[in-house]
Amino acid sequence: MKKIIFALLFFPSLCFSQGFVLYGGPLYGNYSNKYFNQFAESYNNYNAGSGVKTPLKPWGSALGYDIGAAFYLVKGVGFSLGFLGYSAHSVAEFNDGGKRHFKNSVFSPFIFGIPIHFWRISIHPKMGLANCVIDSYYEYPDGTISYGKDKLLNGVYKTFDFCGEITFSVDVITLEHLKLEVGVSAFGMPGKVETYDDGDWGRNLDINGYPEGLPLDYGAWNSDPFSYDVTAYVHPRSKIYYAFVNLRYHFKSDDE
Amino acid sequence: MNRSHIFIFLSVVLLAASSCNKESGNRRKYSGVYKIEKYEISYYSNNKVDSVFTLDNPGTIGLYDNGLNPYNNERDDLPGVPRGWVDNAVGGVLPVGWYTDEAKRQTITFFSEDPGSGQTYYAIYTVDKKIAHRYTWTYVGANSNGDISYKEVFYLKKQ
Repeated sequence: MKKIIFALLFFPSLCFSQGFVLYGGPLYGNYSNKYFNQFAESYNNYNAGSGVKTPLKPWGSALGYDIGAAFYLVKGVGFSLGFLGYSAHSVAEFNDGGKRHFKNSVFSPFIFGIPIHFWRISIHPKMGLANCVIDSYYEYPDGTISYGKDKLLNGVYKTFDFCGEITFSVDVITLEHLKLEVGVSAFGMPGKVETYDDGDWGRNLDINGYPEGLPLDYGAWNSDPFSYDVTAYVHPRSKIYYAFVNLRYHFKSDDE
Repeated sequence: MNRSHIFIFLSVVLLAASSCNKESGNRRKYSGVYKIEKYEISYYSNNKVDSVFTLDNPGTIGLYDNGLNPYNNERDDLPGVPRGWVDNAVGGVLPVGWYTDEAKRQTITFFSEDPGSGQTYYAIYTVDKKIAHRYTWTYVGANSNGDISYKEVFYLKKQ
């Protein structure tokens, strides 16, 4: 029912729009979360004497996509609705061949924007909600992957956050209905909602001594998990600067 | 703006809206009856496979959706209790429930509540989705050094 109401709310805007655009394409950028970096540093320090061959690095490169629809209420200015996702991966490798993986995926199912388009240039501020997941799993030397209780940090850590973004792009190829744009974007999350949390009851601190998040100080957590500050876990405050290529299909040509 | 444009727009809106409520979506997607095509335990020594025990077509496992996590029933006709359950005190004389993680369905957890002690016991399996409704559920047992000591794998096909 909520979905129908949601759709109907947008229906009048659609009828009176001055243009309708579908857009989408890949993105590639540099993703950083300083809280994860803090965790990674403490994890590397803690494991320094345990045969770490390749220490854990900040997430860095991220690959993703941006897909949506824009509606121009007046010429050159409208609103957009879309979704955006990207993921980044960091691995620590041990001397025996085992690997600890952290894969972070951010997916924004609702991202609203105000596209402003003039000549071949677009500026597109956006905001929305993002679903953030860290897959933490261990790969044994024979390639067996485990999310289970055999390793302390295994789990699927999840949270959500608000997100904001601004993109700048230029149309490099312009046909009657189809345009190819390239651009750059800054996307950020303030991390104000909650920390990443592994919601599995079977990996609970009180029940069997597993961390419910990724501790910012892994050494301190290990030395006394039950006294550890429960707010000192990795949270999703982060930013990504990325470049993108989008195809845009205009259902009304510029001449109409 | 013709009807096809409106249809495309509404599809985008509904697709976005349907991305929410992962928990119940995951539960629905996972529930059902699974045929166990193969059950396998590999025992390890020094991180290498030492011996393998295999059972072909040992039975079925049913995951019921009771509409509320984590209380979803499990029923099976297995000839014994899986090793991963035994090592975590799941099953046996106790009823077994199940749930998946609320994000990407990478895990399935089986659990039992013991009304006598008030304890709940959990066995967490790693899920790998294959093609044609086939899955593997893998449980890893580790020794005190943190090395793999055994790996239990269910090879399943959802009915």
